[in-house]
Amino acid sequence: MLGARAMPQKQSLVGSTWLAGARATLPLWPGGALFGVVYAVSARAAGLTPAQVLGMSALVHAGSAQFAAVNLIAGGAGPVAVVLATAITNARYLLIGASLAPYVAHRPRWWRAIFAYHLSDESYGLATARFLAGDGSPAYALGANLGMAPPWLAGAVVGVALGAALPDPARWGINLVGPLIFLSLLVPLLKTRRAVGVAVVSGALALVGLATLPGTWYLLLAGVGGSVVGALWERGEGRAV
Amino acid sequence: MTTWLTILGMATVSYALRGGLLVAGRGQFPPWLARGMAYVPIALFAALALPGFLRPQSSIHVGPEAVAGLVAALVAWRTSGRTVLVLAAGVAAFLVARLV
Repeated sequence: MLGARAMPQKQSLVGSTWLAGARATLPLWPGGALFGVVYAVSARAAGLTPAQVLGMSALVHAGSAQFAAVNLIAGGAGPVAVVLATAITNARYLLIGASLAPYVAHRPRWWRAIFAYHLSDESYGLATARFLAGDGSPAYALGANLGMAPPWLAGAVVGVALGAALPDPARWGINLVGPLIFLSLLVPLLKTRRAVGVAVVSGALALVGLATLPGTWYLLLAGVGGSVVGALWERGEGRAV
Repeated sequence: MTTWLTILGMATVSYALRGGLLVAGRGQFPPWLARGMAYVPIALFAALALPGFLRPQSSIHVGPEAVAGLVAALVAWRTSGRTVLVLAAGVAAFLVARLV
C-alpha cells in the first residue's frame, strides 16, 4: 500500500529533475541564440579569431560582459581593463550567488562548483521561482543553468560562420522574451503590498541606474536597493514576506 | 596570445563572482541579512523585466513594448504567472501595437 502510494510521488519528483529545468529554458533559446550571433559578429569585427570567439563564449559564458569586452578590445583596451570591466559587469552574480546559496548548501562542494559555472540571470529566475513556489530542486536549477548554454554557443557558431550583421531582431519582439519571462516570474511573488513596493522601488532604481551607471550595475543597484527597502519596511511592520 | 590571456582572466573573474559564495558559503546568513535576501528575487526580477518594457532603446519610451508589458502583466496576474501564456500575450500585444 505504502509502496503503491509512494510511486506517483516519486514520478512527480522526476518531473522536477534537471531535464525539467533545461526544458524551462526553451522559450529563451531564440533570444539567446540571436544574442550569441550578434556577439560573435561584433567579436569577429573586433579582430578575435573564430577559436577566440567561441572560446570566450564557452569559458566566460556571460552575454553582457562579453559584449563590453569585445567593444573594449575593438577600441584597443588592454587585458587589465577588459578583465576589470568583466568584474564590474558581472558583480551582480555575487548577489545572485548569495540568493541561491541557501537552496543548494546541502549539495556537495564539487556539485556547487559545477553549478556555479553556467549561472545566468535567466536560470536564476527560473530556478528561484520554483524554489519560492516550494517545488524547486537543485537538479532543476542545474538543468536551467545548462539549458541556457546550447543556444548561446550555437549562436556564436552561426555568428562566426555568418560574419555579417543581421536584420534587427527587435522588430519581431524577440528581445521582449527575456523581460516577459521575468515578468511572469515576478507577478506571482507580488502577494503583499510590501512585495509590490519592493518591485516598484527596484524597477525605478533599475531605470535610474541604466541612465546613470555603466553596464549592468543597474541590476546591482536595484537588487540591493530593493532588498534593503523590503527589509527596513518589514522591520517597521514586524511581519515576514 | 594577449587575447587568450584576456579571455582566461575574464573567465576566472566571472567564475569567482558566480561561484565564490556558492562554493565556499554555508548558505546561512545572519537574520538581518536573511531578511534582505528574501526580497532579492522580487527586486532582481523587477529590475530585469521593467527596463525591457519602458526603456527598449537607450531612453525611456512608452510605446509598443510598454503595451506588451501591461497586457502581459494582466495575463500573468490572471493566470498566476503561466510563462507560456504571458509570452504569447506579450509578443502578440507588441506586434499588434507596433502596427497601430
